Amino acid sequence: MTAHMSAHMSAQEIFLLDVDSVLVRPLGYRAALRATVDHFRARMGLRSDPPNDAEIDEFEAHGFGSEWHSVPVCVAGTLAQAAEARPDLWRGTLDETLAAVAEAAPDLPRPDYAALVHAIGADAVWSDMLAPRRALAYFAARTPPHARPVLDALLARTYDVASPATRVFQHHTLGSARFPATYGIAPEFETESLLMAMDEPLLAPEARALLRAARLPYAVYTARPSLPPAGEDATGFAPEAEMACALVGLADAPVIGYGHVAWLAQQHGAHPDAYVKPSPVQALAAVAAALVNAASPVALHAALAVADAGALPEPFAALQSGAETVRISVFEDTPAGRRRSRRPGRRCAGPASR
Amino acid sequence: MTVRVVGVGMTPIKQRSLAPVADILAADVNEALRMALDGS
Repeated sequence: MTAHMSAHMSAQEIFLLDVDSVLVRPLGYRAALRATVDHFRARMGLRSDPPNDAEIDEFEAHGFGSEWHSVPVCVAGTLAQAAEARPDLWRGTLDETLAAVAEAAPDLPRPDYAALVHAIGADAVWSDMLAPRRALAYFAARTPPHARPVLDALLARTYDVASPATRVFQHHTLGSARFPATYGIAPEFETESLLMAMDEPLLAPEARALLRAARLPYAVYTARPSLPPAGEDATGFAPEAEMACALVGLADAPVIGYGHVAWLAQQHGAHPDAYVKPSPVQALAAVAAALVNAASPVALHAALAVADAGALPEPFAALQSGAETVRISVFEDTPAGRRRSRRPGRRCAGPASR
Repeated sequence: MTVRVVGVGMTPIKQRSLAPVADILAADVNEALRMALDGS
């Protein structure tokens, strides 16, 4: 039995804390989206003109909840706009096409990103897996056949960090200093982490002190990408949940993020989305991690045993026998069950995990 | 084992969506922690 548990034998209280809009105001992802769109616009010789908040809302409302998918749509839309009267600007590769547009220096109006996403016609109920496929089909139907390699490069493998828009976006979210440790490849340019620079801490030091003084088990659980359990191969696992915890002074908190459930899914041949919240597996893993004060393989396997087999392994067995009542307080900004994972699977993409 | 939903609704829209399911409804995580710890 853990020290946490023995301190509260008769009434065990456990806190689970969400990250986005609970511990931090997540401004970094949108900043990274804009920076990435502008990166490609600059390579086309175009002025800064990324999507505004209302337009990003439109993307998210139409099945593009992941920036890994909305960014290449913005880039492909701008390329299609530039090459509409000059189909010869589509070249064999994305790099060559960007350079050809820059050389042609077309006078383009601002892209209507909202109209573009409406025209693509994906729906909010579509999975994030399908939305980029829909976008690829949309652009392929409106561009010459020789544009297809460039469209494929942008949209066919958005989950892979080898995909150009995804790779640039991950530079901006993680920062160039963290990029090689995450993906095992050198950064292509230097940049700060926009998650660390733009996300705003919401947890005040006084409240953090209250939480620590209460000496009750707690864990952070989130659909954000995260590392796998300690000691496992972390290549391709972006530590975005851990970065948010560090931002609010909870770097030592046990975290159960997308990387942890993705690791668990790998062990069992399942798809990570089957285990991420609102699946009970992630919540149970967070409870177990709180009890053992570590996002350990033991905690993850125990959660799956409870959810799938109805078993009661440790630390759940000790919890049942050691406390008369157990109450789990879940700190959320969204009603359970309505949340869609912000970016399912995507941050686990990487050369080693593909 | 019971589950208590501590809703953190930083906007009126979020507060409205959380109201039907939240056992505690707070405007931010700091208030939420204080309320949850007071009641625990």
